[in-house]
Amino acid sequence: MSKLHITTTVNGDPAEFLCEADDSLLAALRGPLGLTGTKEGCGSGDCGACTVMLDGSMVCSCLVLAAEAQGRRVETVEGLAEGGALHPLQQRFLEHGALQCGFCTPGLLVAARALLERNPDPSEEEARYWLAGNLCRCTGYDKVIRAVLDAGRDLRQDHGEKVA
Amino acid sequence: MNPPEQSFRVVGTRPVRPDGADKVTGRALYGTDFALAGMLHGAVLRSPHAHARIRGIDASRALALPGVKAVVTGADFPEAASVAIAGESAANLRDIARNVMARDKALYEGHAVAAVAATSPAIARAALALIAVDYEVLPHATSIAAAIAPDAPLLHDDLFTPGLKPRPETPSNLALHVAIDTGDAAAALAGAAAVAGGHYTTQPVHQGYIEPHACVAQWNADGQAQIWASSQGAFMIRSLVAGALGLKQADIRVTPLEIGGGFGGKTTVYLEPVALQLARQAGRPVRLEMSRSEVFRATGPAPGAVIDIRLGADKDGMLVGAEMTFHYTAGAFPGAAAHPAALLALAGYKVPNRKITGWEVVCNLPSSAAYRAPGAPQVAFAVESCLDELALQLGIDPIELRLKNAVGPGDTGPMGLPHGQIGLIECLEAARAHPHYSAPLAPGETRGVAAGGWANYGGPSTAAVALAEDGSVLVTTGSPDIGGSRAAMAMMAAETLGVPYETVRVTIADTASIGFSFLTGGSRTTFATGHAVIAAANQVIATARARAAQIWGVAADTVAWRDGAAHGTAGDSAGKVLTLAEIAGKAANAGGPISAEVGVNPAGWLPGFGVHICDCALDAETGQVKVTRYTAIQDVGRAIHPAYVEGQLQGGAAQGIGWALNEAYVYGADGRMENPGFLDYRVPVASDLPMIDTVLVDKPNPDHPYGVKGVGETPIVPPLAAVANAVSRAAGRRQRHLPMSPEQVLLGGDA
Amino acid sequence: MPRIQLMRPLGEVWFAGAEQLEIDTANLFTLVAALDARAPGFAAEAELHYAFAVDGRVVADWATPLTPASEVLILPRISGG
Repeated sequence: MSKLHITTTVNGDPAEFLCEADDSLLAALRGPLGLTGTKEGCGSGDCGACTVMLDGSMVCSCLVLAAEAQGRRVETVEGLAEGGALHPLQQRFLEHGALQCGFCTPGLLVAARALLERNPDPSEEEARYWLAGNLCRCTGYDKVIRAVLDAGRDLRQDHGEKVA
Repeated sequence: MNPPEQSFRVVGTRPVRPDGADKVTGRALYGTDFALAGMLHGAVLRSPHAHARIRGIDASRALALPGVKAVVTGADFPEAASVAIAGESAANLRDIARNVMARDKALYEGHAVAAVAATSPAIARAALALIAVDYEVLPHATSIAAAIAPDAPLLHDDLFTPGLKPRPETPSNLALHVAIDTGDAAAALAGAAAVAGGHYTTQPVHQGYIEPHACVAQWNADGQAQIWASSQGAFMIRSLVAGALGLKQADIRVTPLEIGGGFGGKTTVYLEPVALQLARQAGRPVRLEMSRSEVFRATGPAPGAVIDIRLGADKDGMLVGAEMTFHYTAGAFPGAAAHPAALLALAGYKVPNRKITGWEVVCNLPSSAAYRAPGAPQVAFAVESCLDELALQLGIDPIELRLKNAVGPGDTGPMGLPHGQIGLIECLEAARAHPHYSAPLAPGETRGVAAGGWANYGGPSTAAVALAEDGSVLVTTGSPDIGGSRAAMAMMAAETLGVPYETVRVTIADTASIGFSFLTGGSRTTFATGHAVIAAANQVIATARARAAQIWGVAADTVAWRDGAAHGTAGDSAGKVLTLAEIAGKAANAGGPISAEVGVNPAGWLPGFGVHICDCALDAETGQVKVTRYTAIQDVGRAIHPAYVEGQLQGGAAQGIGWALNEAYVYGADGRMENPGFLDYRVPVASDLPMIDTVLVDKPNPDHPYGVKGVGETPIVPPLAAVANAVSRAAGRRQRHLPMSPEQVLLGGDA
Repeated sequence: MPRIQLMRPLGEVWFAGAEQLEIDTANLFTLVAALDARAPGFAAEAELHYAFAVDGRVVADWATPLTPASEVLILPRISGG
């Protein structure tokens, strides 16, 4: 069987790759596209380490077929920083020590950005429920939640400055 | 005696870790992120049976599949010696070799029986289906009760329980017997004013690191090999692979990749010897990685336990006697941390009469592995639950009861040695004074408290410190960084040298590039590898002072070192200053580049103790327990990087809460694991937990230059009982069985 | 003569149940050699699995000298996860 040729957009740039019909988007990102920042922790949609955005929706890339990326926009952790500048979420994760091993961090960052885009001022409880699909075994989530809430504050301030 | 008060420039601050930017941008390379050109993809065939004799394996159809380059089975591995090998204290090589690839018998569902390497993962998986294994299915035992029954199926016919006198005449599944017998426990309990006790059980639980095991192995025609893997010790991989395959250690170069969590579970090998044997056969590099299901079914859970305990106190709450018998599941091979369990069970308390008997039981479960304070949480669950019962019986505050009995410096520990500068009493006092402990409880909420400790460890470590030509500093160690230890190493080097943190960079080197270090485990890295970093930095300072002395033409002992610079004190040199950067710049004309590599094996590590306070809300209708407030207090010696130390306390507490409420290996009557995924093996998620407050109690370790004590393991010891004590009070019934699922809380109770 | 205490079950495993021995020896290296002569195999096991405390402190350096008044405790080594 010949491979499928997929044309898509990854982190704002045009991209294309070949895949089998049953390859996951995660496998395509980590394989032919060489974006290994997105991690596989379970392969069954339970851990959230493979979280990416597909046309603005948060998905577990292990549960999405690679072929479904055809003509759509994929955003991964590699697209979070703008040029050399870290995203406020990345900065706050570092300052709080919100990562220990760092393996769940890419998925958490992508999920947290999706939260803050929808809800710029989440409560602690809203953040905890939004991130409940992203397992972290190291931190107990305390510093993760603090970093997300602080980054939300940063983004609101940035936004306020731009409006003013 | 406390060391004089020290003041610090770097220690105790909270800088960003040197590997931080890599890890928030997705650039850090973990186990499955590394690839080589021409690399093959491996897959492992695992036994579907809990216990089966392997009569034969026919791989001819798999080998005939286009794209398949190698197939290995147990017959392709040498018979390893039945010894541990230098540097790795807990490892029996023969058992490890048989765990990575079954020989005559498969001992648990998931036990590797064959492996293939092929040009794609899909072909490798297809090839597995073509391997025919002729099994003779044997009766199995996945529980302690089944494994110690008189007619239990025997896992190893050469296992004669060590530690028994006389040596047993027949083999059994009892893999180890340990006993501590001091005073007359039975008489003390008979005379006690209050006795608490009962039958406690816990299930095997997994470390639950999010990164599955993975490695890439390459074999060269000249016999030299390379392995890239994520683990808690590249040197551990080197020695175990060399031992299992009969190779010279210098012929195996292991490069540590970033590790996505370990918690003790990555202190042994599973894939590496198999990948190397496949690479050897195929003549090409091979990647092996586990699925989540393989991680659950084939890597080490912590032992499940059955514990019978009686703990007695006089009317004032002074403990008088304890009797405890425990059985731990070792899984397929001996080793279940019964020694530390027996030694640590009552380590925090003065109990004059104690009789502790422990057994390790082999059974048809995955071979158990270390998990954070291995052996300690299970027995602490029973002991700390009994203390809560005694407090209720005697009408004494639970912390007050513990304070009456707590050990302090100078008290004799369980090993017969006097305790050093331990801080249990300070932790209990901090808990009593904490606002959480006196905060009013909301209606329906209850509060539990528990203490716990871990022995910690030192062990051999090597570190190198080198100056770049501009005086910036390169630190190299062989200790994998699980949770931010690069930062701690850089901070200790910066503190010692007197230079800014930002001028120090840290590399975790491969096994060919730095001397031996014992693995990252036992809460030893900041203590022991820290010792090595500080010693190497001090050698660099000695050289820098000597160079300054040469430049000034004075004796080296007249040159002082402070604030990152040499200061002249004698004759013409008085008042002169040469910074580290200036000295480094002149190094080429002053004897050559400046560096030092130091190997140490430091003594003087100290146990760590902690006290946890847990508030719970129990839904009386559904039996669901919600942790509503949690505080973890621990004597950390001195925190090099407080945020990362707090993170250890928070993470350990969360794992302990999961152990208490959710997590368990579930086996069917067929001996197969029924929940090998994160959907059914439920670790705590963000919405399950509150913020976890921490209090870092500083009682510096006089045997570390900056007062460090190990901190990583202790925090998983108190939570099991802290949660259970809260739930017991809410349910009005002592909770003696983990996990405290809704069903268990509502219907199980005091089974 | 240095007094050697063996934590259970080490005495049972190696020295016919003895929990205490007296051996005239210079340091832990020579002590382990002397014990290995009495119980062949002890040294190999000790190098990997046992810890030694001298006068109440666990020591990592086997060159630590022993005096006639020294008390040595031999116990299982605990490393951890």
